[in-house]
Amino acid sequence: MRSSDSVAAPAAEARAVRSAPSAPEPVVAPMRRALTGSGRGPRLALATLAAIGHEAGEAGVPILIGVIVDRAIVTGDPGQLLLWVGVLAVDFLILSFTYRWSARMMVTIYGHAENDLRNVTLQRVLHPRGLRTRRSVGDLLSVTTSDTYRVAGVSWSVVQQAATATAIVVAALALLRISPGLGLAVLGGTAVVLLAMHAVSRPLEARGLAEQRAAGRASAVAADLVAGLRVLHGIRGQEAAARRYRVASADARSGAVRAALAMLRYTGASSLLAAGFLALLTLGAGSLALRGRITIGELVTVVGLAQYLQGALGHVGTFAANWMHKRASARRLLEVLGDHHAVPGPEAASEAQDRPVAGDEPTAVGRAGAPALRLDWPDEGIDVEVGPGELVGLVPAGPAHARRLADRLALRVPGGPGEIRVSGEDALDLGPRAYRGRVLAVPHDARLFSGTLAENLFGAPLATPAVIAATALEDVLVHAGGWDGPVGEAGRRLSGGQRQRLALARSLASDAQVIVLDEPVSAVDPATELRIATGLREHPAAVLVITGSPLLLSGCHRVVHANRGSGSPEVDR
Amino acid sequence: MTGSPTPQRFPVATTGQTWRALAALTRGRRGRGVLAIILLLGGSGSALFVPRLLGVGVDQVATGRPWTDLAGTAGLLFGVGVATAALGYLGGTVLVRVIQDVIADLREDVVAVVLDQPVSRAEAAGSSDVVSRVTRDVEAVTEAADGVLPAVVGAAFTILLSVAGIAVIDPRLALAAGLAVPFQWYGTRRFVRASRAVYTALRVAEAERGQAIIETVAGAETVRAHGVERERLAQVHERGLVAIDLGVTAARLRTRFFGWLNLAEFVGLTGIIVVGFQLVDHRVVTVGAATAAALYFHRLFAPIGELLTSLDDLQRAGVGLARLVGVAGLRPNTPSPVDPAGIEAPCPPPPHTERARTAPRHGEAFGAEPDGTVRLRDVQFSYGPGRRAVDGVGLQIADGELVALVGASGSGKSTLARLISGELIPDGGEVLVGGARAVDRRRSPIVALVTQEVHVFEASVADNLRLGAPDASEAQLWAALRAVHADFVSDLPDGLDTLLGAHGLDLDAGTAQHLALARVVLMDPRVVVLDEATAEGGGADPELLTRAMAAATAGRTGVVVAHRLSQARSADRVVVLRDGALAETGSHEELMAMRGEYARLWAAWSSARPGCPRARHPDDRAAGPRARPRVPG
Repeated sequence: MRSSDSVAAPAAEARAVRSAPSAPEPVVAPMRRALTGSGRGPRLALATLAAIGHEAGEAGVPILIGVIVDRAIVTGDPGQLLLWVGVLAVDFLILSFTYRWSARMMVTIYGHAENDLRNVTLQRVLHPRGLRTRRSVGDLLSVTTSDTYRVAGVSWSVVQQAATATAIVVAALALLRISPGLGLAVLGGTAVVLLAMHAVSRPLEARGLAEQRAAGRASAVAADLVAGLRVLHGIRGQEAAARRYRVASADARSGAVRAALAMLRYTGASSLLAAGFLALLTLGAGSLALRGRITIGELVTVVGLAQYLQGALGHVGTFAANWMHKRASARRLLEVLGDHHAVPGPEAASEAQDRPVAGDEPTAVGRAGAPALRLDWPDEGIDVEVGPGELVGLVPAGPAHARRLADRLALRVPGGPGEIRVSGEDALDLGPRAYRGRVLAVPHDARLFSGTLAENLFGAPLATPAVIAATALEDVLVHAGGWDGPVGEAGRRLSGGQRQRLALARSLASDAQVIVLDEPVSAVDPATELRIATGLREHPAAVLVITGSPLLLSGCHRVVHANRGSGSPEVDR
Repeated sequence: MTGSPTPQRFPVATTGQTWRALAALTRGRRGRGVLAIILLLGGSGSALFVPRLLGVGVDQVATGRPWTDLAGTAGLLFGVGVATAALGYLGGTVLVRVIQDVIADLREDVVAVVLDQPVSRAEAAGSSDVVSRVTRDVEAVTEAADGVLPAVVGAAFTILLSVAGIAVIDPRLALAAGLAVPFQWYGTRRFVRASRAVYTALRVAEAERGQAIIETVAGAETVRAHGVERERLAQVHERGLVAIDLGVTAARLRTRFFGWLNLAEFVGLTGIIVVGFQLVDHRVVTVGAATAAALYFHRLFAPIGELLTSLDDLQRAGVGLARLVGVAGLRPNTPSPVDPAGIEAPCPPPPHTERARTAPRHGEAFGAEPDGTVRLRDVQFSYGPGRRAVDGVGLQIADGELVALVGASGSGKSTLARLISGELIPDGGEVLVGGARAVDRRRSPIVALVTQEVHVFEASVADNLRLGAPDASEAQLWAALRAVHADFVSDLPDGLDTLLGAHGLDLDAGTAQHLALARVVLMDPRVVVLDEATAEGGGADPELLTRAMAAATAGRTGVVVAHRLSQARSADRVVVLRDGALAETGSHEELMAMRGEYARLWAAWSSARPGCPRARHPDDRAAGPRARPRVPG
């Protein structure tokens, strides 16, 4: 006999019971998906090529300035001036249009990559068989938003780094052509500067993150306090709350100052390095020019290129840390995507997408004459059948027990064979998807979604007068301004009781054969609750309500007590 | 209750108000600000010697000067670099502190003002407006102040001084460089005009997408239960596509803008080269000088791009700033929407008080200690045009009396509770608590209200409790927790220091209610208004919660919106409301004897209570399939 605690046990046990494996389906690595998914690969290659063209064009400007000095200004030849200004114009056309193409392509590639990753993650989160690892909503949100955002940004990194490499290569070729020795010196010097900058930038990254966290905390404190505004005013805690924010804000301030100071030190150090580099370069190249080894124009080019390289390589110090963050995000994403299922079932990974719309489900399946719902839970001492039109009350030992019973009835946790039968069919054979097509088991904290009242019925035809009456929805309709009235974010424009009644109306308006409710009116006043109890009793579907509320139980045709193994016979009413 | 109210957003400051507010915030910090600007100007100024020195080097080479001269130039170059780095660093450190101080002051003001707004005002503005001001707008302004502003200041200095540098070489070269300006001006104007709407739309689209994601993830179980995964995914996907489209439009505008900037660069550079060519040809300037001008201009590409592309960030920060200043302008002591004549108290408080209480934090009507008497005289209230939520209620509650409000949804009981607590101001009639009107009570610790909103703050248990009593000692915290049967805290590994909320221990609604009641006990008000909405099974042991509520109301005047009839049973008096008016009032026994609405409710409730005789429902139908009684074991 299974103890009631085992309902929450991991899927290992379920695997022993059922042969269907709950192992994860193979998952495409997030980074690869971001770069090459949905045929993005070739377009990303084109965008990268364009970015390379742009950077080459940018590197061409100082080179051309040098050439113009040599061929036109020093010689005073207007024909050469015209020719090379023309070349400069072509160079500008190239660098301008390649940037345009690259940037536009990149916005599309990046946007779709992010959308893709987000959709895949959400699909996994919404998968009928659930995630085995329990994660908080906050964790899941940060994976679905921040991590997908960061991983999708990998395409920008690729392009940016290709452009940086181009800058180095073009400058190197130009410099080597002018003077191999000088070219090697510039490249060597650049490498030294880069290494030094990378070393300086490392603590910078950590500080930047710490600052973001402090700023984020201040924001979170503010949002949290505003969310609890009513509670605060109720206990006159406005001033204490403002003081609390001031502490968080001061943290954010000192974090920001520290990060800015680190940044200033970094900038200072890198500009010192750059100045030393430029001075040495001027000395070296000038000496070569004095000895006639290079022309004045080439001297200008060398100096101009050195100046340009510093700008082009500005962010190179942060590349490594950038990749580190992206890899960490990709790992977190993979953990969710590749997680095991919470419950066994025949469905494939793409389930959430393939789910048939309501109404496609066969309704008359199962053994003729079998009850709509039958529970056989020896560990709870429960063996009960619910027929169409019946309202059966299931009394839990307490709130936590109610949630556990509801989890079992919604197949959110693995169960044993024969425990739940729908029209004579074992829930385990049906699998979560088909089961939920017939049994609507809404969680206690059923959510509303921003949109209108009508939209919150999830596509069910507008609630019938019977449903409105059964859920005492009239005042909700008046409050929101009719079916087309907005309910606000997560239904916040409605009171707790109003939200519960709208959620209840949504359940009753659905075409499920069996409806399982978990304390559905815990925020509703007694007068309204009594009315709802009567309304539920009249509802044509089979309804099982988990509740300890006397008023709701007073409307039930029958009441059974779940006594966790102590076996109590049901009570006819 | 009435139809949906139109949100009354918090005000947005005008440009003039914003500047004045900024001026006020920088007061006392101007000395440091000026110092920072001087240092930064010095840094940018010294950087300008670089192209000039490079030009000198070119000339030294062109004229075949000795190597030592060249070495001198290189030394100067390095020296200038050191000065630039040092001045930039010093100026930056001063500027950063000034900016961060100003920003911190501003955001703290804003949050304090928002927190002090009457709840009805904040709710009328819409939670998204309020939250976005204290989060998104604050972040936008902080980010701009942090990164964009110093960068823009630096870029602007560099540009100004470079133009000066070119002009010093030869004004005609500066004029040639100036050819770039019309193109920059035209491109920027076009971009700023066209992009404003697109960026606004883009941010709205991103916010909507974010909201769809948050609701989907938070409501995943609901989505799965109803089988609407596909619809939710489609919604998120579609909103994502809308955001992508707008992003592409924005990119098109931005790249077109950069095209104009490139054109300007080309025109300016070509102008300098052609004029330089002429001037060198006529021996007005040296090759080195012309080279220096070209290098000056080439150096400007990056800062000009930075300055002009930051315009959008600055514009966004400006919008955020105006929204913040708009809120900060609602000073903490803005009177509530009722004339402040309520200072005079029509009902003088009785002279006696039994308990020694700390002095009230905010001035009360009289110096004397008010008692917990609650008087309602012909109270009228409506949320907007239309039906009155409370219509002519008169009620007197004695000090220490416990009154239960019973009624159906929309009967006005929650509104009445909010009127008594001072959260709402009556449209007509009078609500007096201890002789004080609502306007005066809003910050007064004489009344506590526990509402249906169950909010656990993301802080430790102790910090959650101390919001209502900042100076409470740990012993007092434990005593309050014990009083309301919140024994679960002593089982927590970190006890009072346990972090609660989304990133810590997530309490269920019932447990959170125990905490809310502990806050009341700590605050020790004269009057407690309880409108908690946890009926049986909502997440708490009802028996324990009832006892906790009894503890919270013990020794005080209590007004309890009854969500459980057991609460009504234990009250001194029960008030039944219907359509905003009193329907029945009296003790439990009296109302039972009246055989009215209350008696009907009570009968239904007690019939199904475990241990009570069960009555068959009058209209029980023919039974469906019955289950067999199970033999245990």
